[in-house]
Amino acid sequence: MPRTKFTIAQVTSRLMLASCFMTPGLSYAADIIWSGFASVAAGQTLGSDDAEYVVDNVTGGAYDNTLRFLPESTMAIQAFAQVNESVSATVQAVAKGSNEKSFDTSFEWAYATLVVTDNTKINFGRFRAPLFYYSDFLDTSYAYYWLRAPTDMYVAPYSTTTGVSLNDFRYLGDFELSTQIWTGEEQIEFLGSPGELTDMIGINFMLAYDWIKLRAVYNTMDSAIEGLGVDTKLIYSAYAVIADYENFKFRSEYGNLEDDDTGLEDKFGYASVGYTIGNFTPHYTYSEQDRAAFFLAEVETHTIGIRWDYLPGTAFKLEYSESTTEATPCDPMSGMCLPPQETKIEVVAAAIDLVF
Amino acid sequence: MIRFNITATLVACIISFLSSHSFADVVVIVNPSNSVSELNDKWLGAIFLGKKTKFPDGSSAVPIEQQPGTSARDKFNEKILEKNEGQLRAYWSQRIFTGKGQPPKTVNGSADVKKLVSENPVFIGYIDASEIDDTVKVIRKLE
Repeated sequence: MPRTKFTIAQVTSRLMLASCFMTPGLSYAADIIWSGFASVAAGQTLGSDDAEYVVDNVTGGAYDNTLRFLPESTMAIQAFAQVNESVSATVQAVAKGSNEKSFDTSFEWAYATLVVTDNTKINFGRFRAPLFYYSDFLDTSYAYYWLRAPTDMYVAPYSTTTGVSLNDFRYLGDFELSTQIWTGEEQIEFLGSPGELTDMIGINFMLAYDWIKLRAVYNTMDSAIEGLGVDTKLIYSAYAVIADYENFKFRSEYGNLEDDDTGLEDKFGYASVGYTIGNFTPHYTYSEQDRAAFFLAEVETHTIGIRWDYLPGTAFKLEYSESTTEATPCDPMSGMCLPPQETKIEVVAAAIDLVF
Repeated sequence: MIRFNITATLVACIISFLSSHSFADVVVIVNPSNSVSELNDKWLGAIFLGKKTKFPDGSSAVPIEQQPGTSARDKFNEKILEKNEGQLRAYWSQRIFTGKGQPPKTVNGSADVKKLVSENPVFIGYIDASEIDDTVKVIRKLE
């Protein structure tokens, strides 16, 4: 193997191995396992107007008609330590670019895991709110074929919560069943106003059989956003179908967020197909959102792209999206609305994704 | 005649290359004191993918992998895990960065796997069939 292919991961694994097998048997000395990932992306909108295309609904990162590197570049490092035979600790620090700050670091995961039984673990601390199929590894874009998960579906202004999560994984014959029940709270910013989500309670089921996975999630929470006069209970439910049949890949998710006071709903979803030919995976995705809970808008997006698995641990991606938005501007105080306005925007982006 | 010789040499070279690399038999081994005598592919795969941590008799199972690039690893990943190196990296990146687990310990090659397995009944690994001896027990042969 040429020297240039001697990766950080190989060095790390050798060091880990040295520390792990120096003492025979299974010791729980505080060996820390380091891992990390990075994604460096560049993109811009096509056309001469000043319209922005939001690519990250959590940071607000958006492309405009200047070539930008910050909106969706991400770097992360994770430390994992087995504290004793039933407790481990995981900390993941993620640095993300956005339009306001060059790089902002946050703890996306920071929790202690208590192993209750062979099948059941409890996580205490800060973890991903499992709103969508890709929520848990949304930043680790190496793990999926898109450059970014469909922004029409991944609309939540937050991705993480602090609280307690019970995670269960078991086999039912040839079926694999994952169950997660969680509760927590999170401070958010929505349409420029600070707010908070409290009393989050959710349950998430995933059933996997051979090449297909089905997912369903149900989550309620209290939402208070002072600047917008919002103080309501939200009911969220979502479903996913994920299939990997030989070289053919299909992903589809549908979500629904209901304001319990008004009964108004936001709906969002996508369907995506990909096909792997050697190291290349071209893909096409149709996504849409139909918003009514807090503002009126309809969005439709077509995305085509390609992932190139250059070497294990490194992928290149190229992606093009064309998105049409029909927004109806309304005054939240009077409830008066102007006629709908349609805007169309195209965005192209390229990225290199790494895991180590 | 010269051309025939070159062709014959080339064929011999290819055959020896293939037999020593791609087509060498790989076996899955456990410690001789382990009560497991065979394991189905689903269970075996689940242990190496971090989805099961026990042998069917309820005792702990800790998988040992060979480092990327060895022919035994490639064959095991293809036949049992049904994933190439890139797919396996994507799989583990999902597990690692969501706190679900860490990939198996990795050692240099068959001799290292055999040594660990022979010393501790929790370990399970795969080695080249040519390395088999009575310090380990074979529970599955991949041809």
